[in-house]
Amino acid sequence: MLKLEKIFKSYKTPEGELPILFDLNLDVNAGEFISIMGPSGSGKSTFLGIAAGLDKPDKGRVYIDGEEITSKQEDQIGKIRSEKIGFIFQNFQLIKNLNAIENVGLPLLISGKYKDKEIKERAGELLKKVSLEARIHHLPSQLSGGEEQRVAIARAFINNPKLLFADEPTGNLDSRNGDLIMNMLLDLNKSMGSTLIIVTHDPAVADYSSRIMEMRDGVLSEKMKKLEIKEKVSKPSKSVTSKKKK
Amino acid sequence: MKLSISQELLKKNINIFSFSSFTFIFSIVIGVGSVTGINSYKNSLKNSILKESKTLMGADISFDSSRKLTKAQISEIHKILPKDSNSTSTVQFLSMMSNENSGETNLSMVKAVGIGYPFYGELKTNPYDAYTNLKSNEILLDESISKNLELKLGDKVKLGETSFVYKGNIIKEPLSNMGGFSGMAPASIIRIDGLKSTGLEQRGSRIRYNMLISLPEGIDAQDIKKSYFNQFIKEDITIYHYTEVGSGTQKFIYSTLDYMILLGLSSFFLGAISILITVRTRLQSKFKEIAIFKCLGASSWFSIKLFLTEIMVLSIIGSLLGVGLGYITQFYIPDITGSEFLSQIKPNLDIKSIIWGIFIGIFIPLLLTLDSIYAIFIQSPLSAIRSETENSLNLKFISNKVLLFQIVFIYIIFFLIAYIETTQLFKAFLLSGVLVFLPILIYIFYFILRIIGRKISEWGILVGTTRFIIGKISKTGSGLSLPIVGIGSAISIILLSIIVRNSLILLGGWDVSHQKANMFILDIKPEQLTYISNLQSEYHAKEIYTSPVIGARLKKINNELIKKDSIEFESINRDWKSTARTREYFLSYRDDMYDSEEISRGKFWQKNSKNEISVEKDFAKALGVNVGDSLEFDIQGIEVSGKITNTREVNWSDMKPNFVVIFSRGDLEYAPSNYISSFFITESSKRIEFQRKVVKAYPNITIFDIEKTVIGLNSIFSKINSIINLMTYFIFSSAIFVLFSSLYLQEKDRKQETALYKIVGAGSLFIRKIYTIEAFAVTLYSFVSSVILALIANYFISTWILSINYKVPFLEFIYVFLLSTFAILFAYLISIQRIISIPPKKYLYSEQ
Repeated sequence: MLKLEKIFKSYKTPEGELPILFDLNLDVNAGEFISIMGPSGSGKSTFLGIAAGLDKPDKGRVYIDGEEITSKQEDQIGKIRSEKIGFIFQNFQLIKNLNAIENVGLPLLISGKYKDKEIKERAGELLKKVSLEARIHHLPSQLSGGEEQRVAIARAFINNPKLLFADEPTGNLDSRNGDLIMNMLLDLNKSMGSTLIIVTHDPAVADYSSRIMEMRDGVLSEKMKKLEIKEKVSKPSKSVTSKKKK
Repeated sequence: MKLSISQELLKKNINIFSFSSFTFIFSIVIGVGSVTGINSYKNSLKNSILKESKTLMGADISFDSSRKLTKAQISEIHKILPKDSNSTSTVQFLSMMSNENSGETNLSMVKAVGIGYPFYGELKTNPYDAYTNLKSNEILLDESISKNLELKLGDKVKLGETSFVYKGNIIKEPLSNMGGFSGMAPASIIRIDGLKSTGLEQRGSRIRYNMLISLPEGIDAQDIKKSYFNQFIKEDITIYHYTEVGSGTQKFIYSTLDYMILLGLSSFFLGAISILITVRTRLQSKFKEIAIFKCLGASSWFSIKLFLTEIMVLSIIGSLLGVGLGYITQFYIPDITGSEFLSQIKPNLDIKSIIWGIFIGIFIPLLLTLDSIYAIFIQSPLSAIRSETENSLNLKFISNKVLLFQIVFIYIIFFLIAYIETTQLFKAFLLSGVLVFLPILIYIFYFILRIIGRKISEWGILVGTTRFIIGKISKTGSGLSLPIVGIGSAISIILLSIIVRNSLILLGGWDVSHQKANMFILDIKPEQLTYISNLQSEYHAKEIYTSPVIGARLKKINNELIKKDSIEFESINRDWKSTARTREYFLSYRDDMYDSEEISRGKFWQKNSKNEISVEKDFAKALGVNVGDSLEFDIQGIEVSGKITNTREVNWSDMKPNFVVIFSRGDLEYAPSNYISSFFITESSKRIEFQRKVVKAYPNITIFDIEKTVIGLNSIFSKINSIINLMTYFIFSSAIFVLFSSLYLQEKDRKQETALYKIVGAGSLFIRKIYTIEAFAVTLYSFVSSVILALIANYFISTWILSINYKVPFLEFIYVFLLSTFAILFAYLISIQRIISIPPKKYLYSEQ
């Protein structure tokens, strides 16, 4: 579903070039739930931007659903984003003077393939799934942090994305809301079969995923989960479930 | 020199090359420039008029009548004058004159003057002593007449029934006070004792008799006028003070200047809106900085001082540049008098205008920072760690209370400015009210339109992206209130200026768009009618309209006598409304209405009707009469009365013999009358031939070739047009700054939105589409609000300030709409172009 091949990325500073990503490679299968962890400044956000087509690498290629996107124009990548990719931000990033149902329906409106009634129905259904059916006409300023993030999740899933990126989705939430969000993502990941890639600091969040990658010095490497290590030590032949509920 | 930290901070903040500083400075420049430019020009013009007035009249005071003063009246005048006063007489009238040899003719304003004229100023001639030695059979001519008639000194000029010897040219002489068409005719001067022989001294020839008085030193002419005005007006003698000379022209000039003041103030007001937006934008960008200062222990005053100093520096720069612009502007204001009588108005800036300009250029912006200062005071240091959204929401809540105080204070300031400019309380109240309450009313209309937009969006009348955008911008918090109020106010003022421009042109009688006749004949005696009619046939004249003209005074309304002392004291206020009851009338009678006339009330008469009256509808209102009322006129001592059976709308610009009061056939047919005729002859050479034949056969007849007059009228029209265009450019420039500063205020939100649209898959085409729709919606909301308000404001300004009829040019409104749409769309697309090229990731991650 997502493939990154020999990705290099650096930024220009007054002191010279600052390398961020160094020969990064990643292969993600369809339906996987992956977490990317790493210290501050390790290049997680840069990686996410390149993977989602929001930024271009200095070298290397990116493939989404078998299609190479690195050489495409911005508008072409936008089209791919509207059809195949969903995005969830740390600070929700809802459009402030659109209400919940309008924010959720925005990707479908942009695609131009759906009638207003259909957009309204689908957005309504998704808001119901995230338990916000009573708040569909509320503006972002009238919602709590958790509710805003749920709207953002609904928006991210409305176009049935094959690939979903989440950048610190629980970063601005308390632990209760954070758990709620993660369980929601997990449910949607399983029911819709989307490939989920999360960037996070929080090991508790990472533990929801089936695979944890660590970003260090611009390079991604596989990180074993705590539970996997424990189980490997105690029962090396058994597989580990990735779901954790609190 | 090493700067202190504060000075360093200030230096970094005042980056005059930043967009926000540029907008701030130039909003002040345009506003101050327009106000000081107009103010200086107006002061110069006013001083010039006052300075020249005595020399324009040639006397301190004038007793003026359309009838020859009787011996008793002259004696009465002498009785009231102080000892050592001097008096002389003049008689003025329009007449044709001709070269006896060649037969060439020319229209002239003839002035027959008595000994001693003029008491002030000079009558310059060439040869220099031509006037001093002028005999009763000699004549002085304007240079243009002597050229047109191809005269040499000593040649004979036929005036009426007599020939005069051409003695010399008039280089400079006091103004005649007849105004209107008459003011266009070149002057000629004869001695008063030479007048009788011309045979031109008769009623109906628009003759004016003046007794000019010079008063001894220390006597105020105004006192004489105040004391005796009412006494003499009863005898149809009007007393004029020297400052009232050319009052018709002065009224036009002062009306135009009042209007220009309004435009200048409007331009400044729009600049103030732009300043308000920019001040708020600047403050919003400094929120975190101010909060951090507070976290580090700085007092509120520290930040306030920095902020105010910044505003002050930018305001001083803007004011100084604005004063300079005001000076340059005057070079582009043409001398609107178009007259050689007043000294040329030279561009200048008096000290008062400079101080005034700098004061308003600094004080108003400082006043507009009041709510921002309050916001700085109450800002919590916690804002340093809050989000931008939380901070901006708090500012909005707090500053609305202070904003109300600001609005009241700004109203007071604009009221004072308007009062100083117009010196009239009511005008100042209305002008400042229009300006300050205009944006409030625009906002109210916008609020209503937003509700309509929301409903339209909800009901599904619109679909897809259009519905999405209209729904979005119709919500509270769309951030479009200030741009729409600013743009709406600007469009409103521009529309208002277009309506008033057209109305001023009508006031000057210069709407020539519907002109049909190009020749006018006046003073046709009954026995001369057949000749004129035959000549018109011979020359294939078209659109011939001939009407009888009877001079009369209104004596009674519904059998009640008219009070003569109700005439307006100041001649400049003596418009057609205020003189409706006491003026001299020119009556006429006919069987039918013109095509260009329309009945507004009642019914027009049948051919066999007797003694029915039709009154022009606005005149009827001024006169206080309606259908069913009776009017009685005094025609040379004989009463003629009739009943009003209808009021009518007259098209004054169609160049037919139009009258405010016409009779059906009846008693008026027997009154002594002259005739007036208008018609059209295509070729210029034929018109000249026609003119020559008429003047040769009947020297008493006055004949106008309108084509020549139109050239003169068009030049004045184009001057008025250019003044108004100049002021409209100021307003339009101010409006552009409002628009750009509004878009700049929203730029941060717009960047975020655009980034989000891109992230969820929108291409640049979709993004341009939504902002294009938004631009159209902004234009529509602004324009609809502004049309309604412009029409309302025009009613008040035209009726109560300028006292003129108005005409709404809807076609020009469409041009304004199209131009506004283009300008707003252009501004949006430029703004979007900068944003659209920013990669969404760059913006998003800078926020996080």
